[in-house]
Amino acid sequence: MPGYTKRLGRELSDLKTNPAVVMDDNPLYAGKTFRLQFRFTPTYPIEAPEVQFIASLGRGIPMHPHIYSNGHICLDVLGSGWSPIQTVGSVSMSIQSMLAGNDRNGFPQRTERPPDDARYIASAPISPKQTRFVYHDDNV
Amino acid sequence: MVEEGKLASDPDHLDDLTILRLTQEIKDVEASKNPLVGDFKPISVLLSEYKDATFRNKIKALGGGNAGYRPVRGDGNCAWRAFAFRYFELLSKLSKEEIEATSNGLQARTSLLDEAGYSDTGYIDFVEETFNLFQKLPDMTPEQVVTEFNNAEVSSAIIVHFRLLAAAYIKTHADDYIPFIDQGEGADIGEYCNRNIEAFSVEADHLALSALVNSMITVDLGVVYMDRSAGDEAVVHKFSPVESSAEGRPPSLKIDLLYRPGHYDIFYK
Repeated sequence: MPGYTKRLGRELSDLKTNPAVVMDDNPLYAGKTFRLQFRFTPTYPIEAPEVQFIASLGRGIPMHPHIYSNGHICLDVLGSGWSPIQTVGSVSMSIQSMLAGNDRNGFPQRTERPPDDARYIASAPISPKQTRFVYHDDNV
Repeated sequence: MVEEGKLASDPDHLDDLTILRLTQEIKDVEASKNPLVGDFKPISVLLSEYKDATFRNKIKALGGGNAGYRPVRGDGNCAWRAFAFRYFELLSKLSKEEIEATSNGLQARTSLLDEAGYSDTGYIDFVEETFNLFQKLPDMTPEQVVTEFNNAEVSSAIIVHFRLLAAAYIKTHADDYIPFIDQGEGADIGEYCNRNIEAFSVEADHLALSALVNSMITVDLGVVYMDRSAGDEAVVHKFSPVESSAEGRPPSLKIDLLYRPGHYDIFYK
């Protein structure tokens, strides 16, 4: 069995017994369900998976200054911050923490898209991994 | 935010980030033409690459005879791959008992990974690959170790294992390392390890090599610095483990790397 299949199998059974859930009551997202899509290549986990939000019936793209309206996510761990010790579970936790943190330090919650959203989605590659995001604004 | 370089498409007006990206892409393509671990070359081959007197003097001072080097692909993992390959190449020449003692000693260091808080789901496949090679090693020739390390899946996994050991050593000995880590904005031990050690294809710095040697226990590392600094002999940086193995079991290994600015190869005295 190829290495990545074995690894994903193990991750799946981990997630079944111990789902990656961050307890959060951020009113922006409370009670809502969002869908994340993970795509893996045979080089996983040496290479990061491709991860994005997918909109479907009743499931939108969470409103957040680091999430583009096409579902692409600007998050360090999915790009230059990736390392092979990360898992689907740890990535899911990071994304949940990112959402939970959209309220940090008493800053008003930010219900907007990234400032370059319109420009980005007009020419965005299909895969978010082909985009090099610049990370700034750590307040959210 | 999206990097400017990704959206610029006019070839006459490339911004710095685009140039940087394209340069890296060219380097990556060039690097992929070389084997992950190349063939041994005598020192005279290295000498023929340089016209500069400083380099030539330093190379000549490295010694003649059997001295030489083995090139390793410059893909950001070179120090790690060079170290790991040489580790197994040296072991392949030892007895079955010595290999087993080394394997058991390294196996015991897996506890560092747990202490550092890594999930076994995250690390187990990499660790297994290392010990698979240990299992086969008593029956392998040094040439077969070269073949094994040119299998990207095998050597990548071993590199990740060694990277995690080094990072885990830093995380579990934070007091020793904190003074050396740049306390920039928001920088901490975890972030340092993530960006500089755990991340694949990021070149090893001095701290990473020190932590790797400390995590392995049985290796003394020497790095020959072949640069333009003054002097007729290359400076050698030596790394020895803080802890030592009891009574020479498992045996101590001596690994030498040849550093030229931005790249490591394996050095043979």
